[in-house]
Amino acid sequence: MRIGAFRHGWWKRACETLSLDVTDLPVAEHPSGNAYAADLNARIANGSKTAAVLADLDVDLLLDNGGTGLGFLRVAEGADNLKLVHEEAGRPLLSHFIDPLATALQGLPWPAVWQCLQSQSWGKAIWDRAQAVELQRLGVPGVTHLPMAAQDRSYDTRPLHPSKCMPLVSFVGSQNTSYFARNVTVPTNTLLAGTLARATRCDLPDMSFYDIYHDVYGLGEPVDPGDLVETKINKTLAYFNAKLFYNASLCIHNRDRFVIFLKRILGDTFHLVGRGWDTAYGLRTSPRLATADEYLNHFREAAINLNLVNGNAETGLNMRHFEITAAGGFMLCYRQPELKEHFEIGKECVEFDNEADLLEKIQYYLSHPQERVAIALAGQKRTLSQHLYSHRLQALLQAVQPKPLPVEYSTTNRWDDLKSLVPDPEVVLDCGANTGQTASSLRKIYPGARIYSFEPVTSVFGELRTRCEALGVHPVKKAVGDRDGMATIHLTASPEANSLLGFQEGSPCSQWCRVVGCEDVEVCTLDRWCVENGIDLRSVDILKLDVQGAELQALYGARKLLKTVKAVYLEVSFVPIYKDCPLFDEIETFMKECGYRRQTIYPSDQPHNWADALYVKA
Amino acid sequence: MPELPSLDINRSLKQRLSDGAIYRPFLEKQDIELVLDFNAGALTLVPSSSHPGQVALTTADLGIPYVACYLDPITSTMTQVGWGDHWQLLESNSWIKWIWETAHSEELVKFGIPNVLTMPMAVINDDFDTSPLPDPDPGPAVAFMGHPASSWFQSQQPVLPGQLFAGLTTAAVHADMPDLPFHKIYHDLYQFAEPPDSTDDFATRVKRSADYFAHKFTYNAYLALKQRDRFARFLRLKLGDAFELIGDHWDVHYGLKHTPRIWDRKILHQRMRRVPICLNLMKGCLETGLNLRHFEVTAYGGFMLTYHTPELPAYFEIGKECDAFRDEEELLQKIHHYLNHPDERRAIAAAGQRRVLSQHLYSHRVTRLVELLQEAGVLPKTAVVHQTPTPVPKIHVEGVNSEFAPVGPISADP
Repeated sequence: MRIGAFRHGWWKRACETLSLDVTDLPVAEHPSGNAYAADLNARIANGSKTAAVLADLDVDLLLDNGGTGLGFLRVAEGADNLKLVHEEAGRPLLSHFIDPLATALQGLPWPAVWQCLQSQSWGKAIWDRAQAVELQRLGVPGVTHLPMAAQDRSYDTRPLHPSKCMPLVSFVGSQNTSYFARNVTVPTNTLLAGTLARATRCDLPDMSFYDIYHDVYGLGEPVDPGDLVETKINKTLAYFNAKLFYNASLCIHNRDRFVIFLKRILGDTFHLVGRGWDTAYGLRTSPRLATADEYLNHFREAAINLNLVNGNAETGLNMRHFEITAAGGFMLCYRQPELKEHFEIGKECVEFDNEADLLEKIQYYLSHPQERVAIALAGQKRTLSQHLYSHRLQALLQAVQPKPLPVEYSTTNRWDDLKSLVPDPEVVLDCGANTGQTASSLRKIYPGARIYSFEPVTSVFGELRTRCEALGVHPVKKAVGDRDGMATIHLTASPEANSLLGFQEGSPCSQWCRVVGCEDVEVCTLDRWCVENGIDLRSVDILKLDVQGAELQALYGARKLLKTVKAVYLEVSFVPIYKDCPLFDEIETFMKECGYRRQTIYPSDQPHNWADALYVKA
Repeated sequence: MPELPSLDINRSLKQRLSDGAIYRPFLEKQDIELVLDFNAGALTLVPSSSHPGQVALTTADLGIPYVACYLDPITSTMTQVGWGDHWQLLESNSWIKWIWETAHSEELVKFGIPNVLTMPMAVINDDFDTSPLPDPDPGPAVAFMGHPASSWFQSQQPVLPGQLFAGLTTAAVHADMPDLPFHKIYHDLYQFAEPPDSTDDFATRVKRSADYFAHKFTYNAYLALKQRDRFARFLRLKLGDAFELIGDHWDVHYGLKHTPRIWDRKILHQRMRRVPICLNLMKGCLETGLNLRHFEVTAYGGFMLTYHTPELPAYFEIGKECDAFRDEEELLQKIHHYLNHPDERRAIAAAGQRRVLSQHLYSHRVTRLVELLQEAGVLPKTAVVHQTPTPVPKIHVEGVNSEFAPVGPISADP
């Protein structure tokens, strides 16, 4: 494979380690020297250069850091006449974001960012799992989770000498939020979402801002695939604006507080290297480490290397986790949810939970030098064998190997299609309504229809009922299945994934489908429910099923209805997402037996795993 | 005590001076050994007998000890009185400040306020219905009775981000060390400022305390969301009409549907008995202690599900006399559990009621108060109140091992 790398040393070295043919490509410049600040004009100017280079260059994949390779071509006058360079050149672009996407693309207006994000050939590899899931749930395609790593280079792998330990405790990193130093007032209502999230994470530390904002408190409407582009842009903008204060408060939570604390307690025994500490808090810092060698040697010389992630990390690790350990330094870091996925805590690095724990562990490891040396050595082995950029690149290349889609997807709008197929339905059954997302879309296209939304889970039903009241939709607190009675529904990490089926080990959606509880709920068959509620079976024109793997059971309980229903819109899986869930072929066969033909199928944000299919009466 | 034109806890010093003219002749005629009050609403002033041209607490001028129990933190009362005047009153030896939670009393002692005593709230002595709980009323399964704890976030008030720093840092530390109160994080761990020193002059003491409480304001606003408002919002979203919010302003502050505050105490207490689950969520002014509702819901026989607070285990056996939750997931899980286990709910409510009626009435607190004041020599040993021979629950106060102990020395000499 031949790679085009947008002037980035890490990727270039990783390519060389893997003996891949790599070519340097230019990045858009910004007068400040901050590539993240490159604006539209700079990216247009650079886009033409890149396009010219690519025209004569035989590369299979473009790689960058933080979207610096995102370039534009102006194909005609006017702001709307811009094309993405990589799309025009027919080359996939893969960006690894080591900062949040909103930070990395700060030079671009949000509508432009949003339009770019929809590019299917732009892979977005995100370093922090919470932020990767956030983007996926905001409807961004091509998002993967890819942790940071250490550079490929030669490292000193000799064991540390325990007597060589000056400074005793060191932290290398900048002070990164200017939020609290600004002399501009902010209105208190802008602090609500961030403060609520801080309060919730105090009790539920693994919960992400996205979950708190959307699922726990309903502070904003989630992005719906059926939304207009403008609505999607407004929703995501409101979301990221609400998150601003949360990120600033995370800077204090994850980093600044410990630096202030240790300077106060340890004085100059605590060696601080980084920008901003003197101006923000009046803390004395040591001179910056001028070269890469000095930087890496410093980690070997310090007895204890503190690692504090920045305010932009919710769950993930920063580059320092890998740099300190690669260099062979002993790392003591603040706990972070993804740490245990990369290191054996206590054996390859050590974590602390709070100020008291930090002091205790500093004292302990200063008085146990041999233990410190052993941990540093084990941490180095781990990083050099698993956490270099070449390892990440290998994983990326595997992920981007062309994998055929399971079906040919439609590019049309699902609601427009449904409306043209069934223009004026009398009754619509919306099963697995969650909080009424689909009900809202259905009401928009069918203002006169009687819509019944089924949702059995109490914690979700409350919101559905409120929304139904506003929409003029009838909420029904039941699950649908192949028999009437009671059943246990599994409550999952994401309430949208609650299911009558159990958890499937190895499910590609495990972060959403993880079971966190259960509830006994009423189940009904649709055939019987219609009869008992005086609904003429022939009046039901549309059946929508999104019941998380239990679609076939629901269809079995609707055999009479399926004699006359005009359109069935349902979720289908191509891989086992839930335990014993029927796959697409099984659903397709059943629908054919019932006299339906597949009209079309719409992609989800995981098109290899699941989709929404639309069937019509043949 | 004779009636005053107003017992508003925030009325002016001028009004309190005028009120002193009503109390003084009354107290002079009566053989009263102790004046008891809530929130310093009955704190009045008179021209000093011993220092012409100055004013004194009416009780101090007559040599009668005065005890005010604070149901709200000191910063929430006397808001119409200048901070300097308020602070000067707090520094009065003749006024014994009965503080309801450990964090607040430690804080005041640290600031040099004399005669601070820690005792929790309780429920007023009443004719309680101790019959087994009736079947719940049809309707909402869960109710919360109270108003939003903070209007700050809706106020759109402009704030300089720098003012938020100490409060946010404290909130971050508190997330990792939940038993650490604000004053310890602020003064001891982070030294955002020095606490007042006994050698400081009055102006410095006032300034230090004013700066401290100004910084604490953001933290209290955070606690208001953390301990109350977030759960009300969450349950309204998740349970819909199965959750009843009884109180005012929820619609204005959060757009939440609610029913108005129930003014009639009897009706309110009946509601506590008849709703399957009575939620208790504390305000932002609480750091470690219990609020009035802890004792009220249980005393009237209701089943209480409360957000956890550090001092709760000292007063109730959790899971047997009430139940507690620590986050949204646990809240929902326990609501479902107790709705499906009505007998367990009834047994807990009955046990909770027994505990409160035997240990947490205001008569129990007054008995203990008199004992403490006698031990300190503030009251003569002959003073007698209705004796209730019940064990007193233990609370932990750093450096003091006795039960319901004063956290600072109580002076016998006003």
